[in-house]
Amino acid sequence: MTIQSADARIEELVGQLPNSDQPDGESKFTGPKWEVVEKMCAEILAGGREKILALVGLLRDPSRERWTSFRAEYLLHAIALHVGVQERRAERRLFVETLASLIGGDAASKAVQARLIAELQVTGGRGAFDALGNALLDEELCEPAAQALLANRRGAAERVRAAFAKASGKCRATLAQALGVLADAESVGALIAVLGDANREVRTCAAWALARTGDARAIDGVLKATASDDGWESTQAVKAALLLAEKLAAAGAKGDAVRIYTHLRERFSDPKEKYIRDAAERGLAAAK
Amino acid sequence: MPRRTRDFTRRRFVQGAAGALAALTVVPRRVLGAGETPPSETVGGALIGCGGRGGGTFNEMRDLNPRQLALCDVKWVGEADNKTRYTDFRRVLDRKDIDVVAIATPPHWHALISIAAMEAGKDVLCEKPMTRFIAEGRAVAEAEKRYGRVFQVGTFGRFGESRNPQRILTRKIMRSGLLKECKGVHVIGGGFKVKEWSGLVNTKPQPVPKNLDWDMYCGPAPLRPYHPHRFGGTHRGYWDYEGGGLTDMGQHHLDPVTWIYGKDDTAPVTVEAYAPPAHPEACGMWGWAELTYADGFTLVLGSGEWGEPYTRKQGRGVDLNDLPEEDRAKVEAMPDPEPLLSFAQAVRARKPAGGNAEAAHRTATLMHLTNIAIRVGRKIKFDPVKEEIIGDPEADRLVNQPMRAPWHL
Repeated sequence: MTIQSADARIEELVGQLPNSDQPDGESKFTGPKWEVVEKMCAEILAGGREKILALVGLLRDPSRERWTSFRAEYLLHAIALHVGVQERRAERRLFVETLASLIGGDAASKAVQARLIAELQVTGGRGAFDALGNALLDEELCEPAAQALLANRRGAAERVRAAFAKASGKCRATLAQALGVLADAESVGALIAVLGDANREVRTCAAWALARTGDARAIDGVLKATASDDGWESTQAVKAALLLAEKLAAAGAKGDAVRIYTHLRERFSDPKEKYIRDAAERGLAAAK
Repeated sequence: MPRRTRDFTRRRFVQGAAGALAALTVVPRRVLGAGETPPSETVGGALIGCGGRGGGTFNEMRDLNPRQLALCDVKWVGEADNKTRYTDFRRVLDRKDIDVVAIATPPHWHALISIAAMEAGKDVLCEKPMTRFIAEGRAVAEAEKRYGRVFQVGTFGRFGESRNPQRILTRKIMRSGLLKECKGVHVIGGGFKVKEWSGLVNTKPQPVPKNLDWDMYCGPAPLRPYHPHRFGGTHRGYWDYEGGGLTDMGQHHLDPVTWIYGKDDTAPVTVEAYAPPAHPEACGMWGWAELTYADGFTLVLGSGEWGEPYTRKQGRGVDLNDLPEEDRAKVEAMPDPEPLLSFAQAVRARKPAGGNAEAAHRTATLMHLTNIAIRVGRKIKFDPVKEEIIGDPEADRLVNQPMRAPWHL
C-alpha cells in the first residue's frame, strides 16, 4: 500500500482554504463557512479512493518537522464530519475503508496513522474493524485504536477480547479498560485472571471492568482487592465493589449485593471510613 | 464571580501557601456537623492544581478556615517532598487528615479528581468549568450521591440571583408547571473570549520541561507531543483539555440562568450553532448558538466575534402575565425556594451545596451541547433524561468520550 502521489486538484482545494492568522509563525485559524467546505468534501468523495489518498498524502508527521499541513488535516476532518450525515452511508463507507487501508504497514508514519485513527473514531464504521483490531497490539497505536473501536460499541468486543488475550505492557491496561467500557460479559474470566497482575493499573482497570459487567463471579476478586495496602488501589476497589453491588441489585441479584455491602460495612471500621460504611448502609437499605 | 487575579503570581501563591501550611488554625469539631468525625480537630485542606486559579479556588473554602496541608501540581517534578508538596494527586487523596479538596487543574482532570476525592471521603470545591464532556458530569453527580459528599463548582452567580425577588418569581413561574408554552428568550451576547481561547493549529513540538510530568498532565486526554501552548492557561484552546472560551466562561454566564429559569434538573432538547467547520484539535471561532428546552424556553449565546449576528428571536423575559389570571395567584402562593447553601454551610449541614454536582452538571451540559453542535456542524436533538443525542451517532460519541487508560469514570 502506498499513499497517492501529488494530485494538483487536491493541492488546489487545500490551497483555497484560508491560511492561519500568522502564516510565518504558530498561530490560530478560522475556516470558511460550512457551505464552502461542503463542496470541497463532496468533490473529493466523488473522486473516490484516489482523491482521499491524495489528501492523506499531504499530512505530515508532527513529531518530525514543523507541521505546516494543518489545512489538509482540517479538510480531512471536515470530510469525517461531512460523511456523518446518516444519508451519506456510501460516502462514509468509502472514506472509512480508505483510511483503514492505511493502518498498519509503513505507508504512513505512526503519527499520521494515529491521526487517521482519530478520524475513524469520529466516523465509526465496521469497515475499519479489522485494521483497528490489528493495531490493538501496537504499543504506539493501541490507545487510539481502542478508542476508535469503542466508538462503535456493537461488534467491537470481539476484537478487543482477542487482543486482550495476547496483550502485554501498556496495552494490557488499555484493553482491560476497553472491555470495561463495553461491559463485556464474555471477558469476566480473563479479567478475573488479571486481578493479580503485577501492574497496578492493569489490576484497577480490571476491577472496574468487572464491576461494569455486573457478574457475580467477580465478587470475591473485587472484595479481595479492597484489602490492598495501596490506598489508591483499595479506594478504586471499593468503588468497583459499590458499582458491582448496584449492578447486581438492579439485575435482581439482591443477595449478592447484600453480601458486598455487608462486607464493606464490616471491613472499613476506621472513623475516617465512616463514609464507606454509610454508602454500604444506603446500598443495603435500597437492596432490601 | 471569581475572576483571575491579575497580580497574583505563582511565587506569591507558594509563599502564601507555605505560610498557611505553617499555621495551626484549630477549628472546632462542630464545623463538620453531626455524624461527621474528623480524625483531627481541624479541617484539613488540599489544593490540587496550583496554577493561575489555584489560590483563588482554595480561598473559596475560607469560611471553613481549612488548614492547608498539601499542594499538588504536575510541574513540581524534582521539587515535591510528598509531605506538603506533591506531583501525584493520588498520594494527596490517600491522606486521612485531609477533609476538603480544592481542584484547580485544567478541566480535563476536574471530573476524575473530583470523583476520586469523593471516593476517598473528601468534600470538593472544583474550579469551573465542572467538566470536559457531558458523561463526566453525570459521573460526578453519581459519586456525590454514592459517597454522600459535598460538591460545589467554583462559580457563584446563582447565589446572588437566588436572593433577588424578581428572579425568585421567574423561577417559581417556570417551576410551577402552569406555563404551557414558554415564550421566554434569554440572550447572552459576548463575553466568551472566543478568539482569545482558541488553539494554535501549526505548532512545532518541543521538549518536555524537566520539571513537568507531561504524561500525568495529559492524563485521560490523548498523549500529544508537548507544546507550551497546551499548558498553563492556554490549554483552554484545545478540545483535549477544555472547550475554548465557551466552556471557560460559560459556567459563569449560564449558572445564574439555569437557576433563574428552573433548569437545574433538565437540558435543552435541540441545539443549533452557527460556526465554521471545527478543527480536530484546536477550538476556534463560532457565531451564535440557539438552545431550546422542551417547554419552549430558548437560550441564545452570541459570540459577537464571528459571522452574522443572531436575528431569529428577540430577548424576552417571563412574567406573571404569561399565565391565565387564575394561575397567577397559585404562583404567588408558592413558597420561595430554599436558600442556597454555600460550600461551608453545606459541609457543616451535610446537605447539597447551591452549586452542587447535578446543578453544575446541567449548566455545563449547555456549553458541551453547544460545542458538540459546533464540532459536528449540525443541529442536534438531545434526550435530557437519557442524556443522549438522538439520531446522530457522530455527535453522540462526543457526549461520552473515551479516556486514556488507566483513567476512567
